[in-house]
Amino acid sequence: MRFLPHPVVIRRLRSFIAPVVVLAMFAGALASCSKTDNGPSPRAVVLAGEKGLTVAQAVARPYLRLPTCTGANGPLCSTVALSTSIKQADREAYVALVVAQGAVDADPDAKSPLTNQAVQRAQTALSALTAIVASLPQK
Amino acid sequence: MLTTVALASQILGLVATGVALAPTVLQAAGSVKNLLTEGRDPTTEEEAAIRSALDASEADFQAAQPGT
Repeated sequence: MRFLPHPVVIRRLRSFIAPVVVLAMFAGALASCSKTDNGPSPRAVVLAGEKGLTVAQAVARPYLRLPTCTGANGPLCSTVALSTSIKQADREAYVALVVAQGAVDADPDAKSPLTNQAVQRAQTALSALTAIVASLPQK
Repeated sequence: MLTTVALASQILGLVATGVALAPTVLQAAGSVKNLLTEGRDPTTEEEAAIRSALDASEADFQAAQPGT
């Protein structure tokens, strides 16, 4: 198992905490835009969610690649439980976005409540992932 | 919405020391913001690029292993 020196690990951790600010701001914009009649189209909202998920993955990926905590390698490591939660939340967001994508492809104007529900579920799933990423250890 | 605002405030507090944001992350977030604020439908090329990038990122993310 490879151990990273503390300064390097700290920099890596801090580098993915900071972009969460951008992600959270994006999530807020996404949520507000989807609730207005004059906002972006459902297709644009879903695509923005897909882009947002890519950003979230970039932010969380360094944590997944830290050495697994063994009890002897200190706090600068990743836990199996948290890594599993992150991957599960990511998978749920990905699947929800694929479903929403299919819904807006079939119903571009989101005339069906089911389309709106699919988009809303995708937003909720992405927000859940964002919340987990924001709770990652800072040091 | 309130949760998102509270979350953003919390994170802003955490990074008040000023950590440089990754340029690629900023760029991606900026393009999302533009997509939402321009009020236009994305082009076919934009859709294809975004979905292709997400699919590749998803596969890499799920395959990520500790210590790599």
